[in-house]
Amino acid sequence: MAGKQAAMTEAVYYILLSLRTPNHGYGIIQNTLELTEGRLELGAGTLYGALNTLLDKGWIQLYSEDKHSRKKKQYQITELGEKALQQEILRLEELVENGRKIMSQSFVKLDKEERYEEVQVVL
Amino acid sequence: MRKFRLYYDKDKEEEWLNEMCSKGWSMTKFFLGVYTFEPCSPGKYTYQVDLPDTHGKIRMGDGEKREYIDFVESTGAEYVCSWGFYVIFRKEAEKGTFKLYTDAESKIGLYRRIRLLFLVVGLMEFGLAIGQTANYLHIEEELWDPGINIFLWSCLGVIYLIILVLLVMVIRITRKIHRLKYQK
Repeated sequence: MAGKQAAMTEAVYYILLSLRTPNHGYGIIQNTLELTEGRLELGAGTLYGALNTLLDKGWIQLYSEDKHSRKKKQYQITELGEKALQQEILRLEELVENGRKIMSQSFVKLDKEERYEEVQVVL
Repeated sequence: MRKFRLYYDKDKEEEWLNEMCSKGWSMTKFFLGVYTFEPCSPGKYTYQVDLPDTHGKIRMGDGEKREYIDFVESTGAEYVCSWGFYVIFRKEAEKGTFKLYTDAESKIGLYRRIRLLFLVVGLMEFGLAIGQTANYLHIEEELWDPGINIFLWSCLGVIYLIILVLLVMVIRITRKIHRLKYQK
């Protein structure tokens, strides 16, 4: 069972993942780019809004503030954020599980590259 | 080079600034509808017009605004200027794509902020216009001066026209928001 927490946006999900270790805004963008192999590039406005919302929710906290350069504000995930992330992973697992169960076996058996190609042909 | 333009639609404004830049003119200043351009190598920058998230407040404090600008600049962009609630940024095209808002949720947030601004300004102007209209209708006969009256009524006409444009913009933005919701 995956609990009742609302689905996270991709941005929030990758921000939280990027903040398992203290990180600043630009670091979050870079980390997300790496994790998604260049697919998801977070815009600065999107990131700023999401960080403020997450601070309000108590899912992340300020880690340090460089007094000389305000550009280097660092954030870190909180225990609450960690729990939320785990919940979301459970929910996503349920999604993928159900998808695998119901979609044709041939599709699931392909490796990642082949699956991607198959989808590309259709789209 | 200076150019005078009045934009209600920030997407169109953005388009125009990028088009000017592709012709070798980079925007550096804005004042009361007058855009100042400086020569640049064609297509050097990508421009973005922003109405930053005030986080529930009517207006960003100076500190918050500075912080937001610093934040955006730390991602490789450059602050150009601000006007009222709007802020304009640019980024060198060779440093990569430049989009401030990259998902439907935050784009919806942006358009909601713009819509709210237009609604508030529109309502304020409407209140003003109604009050003035009532006033003019009660001017006493002996105080009528055709010259002054034509002037006053045309001023009022301009205000009603602005209200109409704002209303049209509110409708267009609402449509944009609906389209974004459908995308989600």
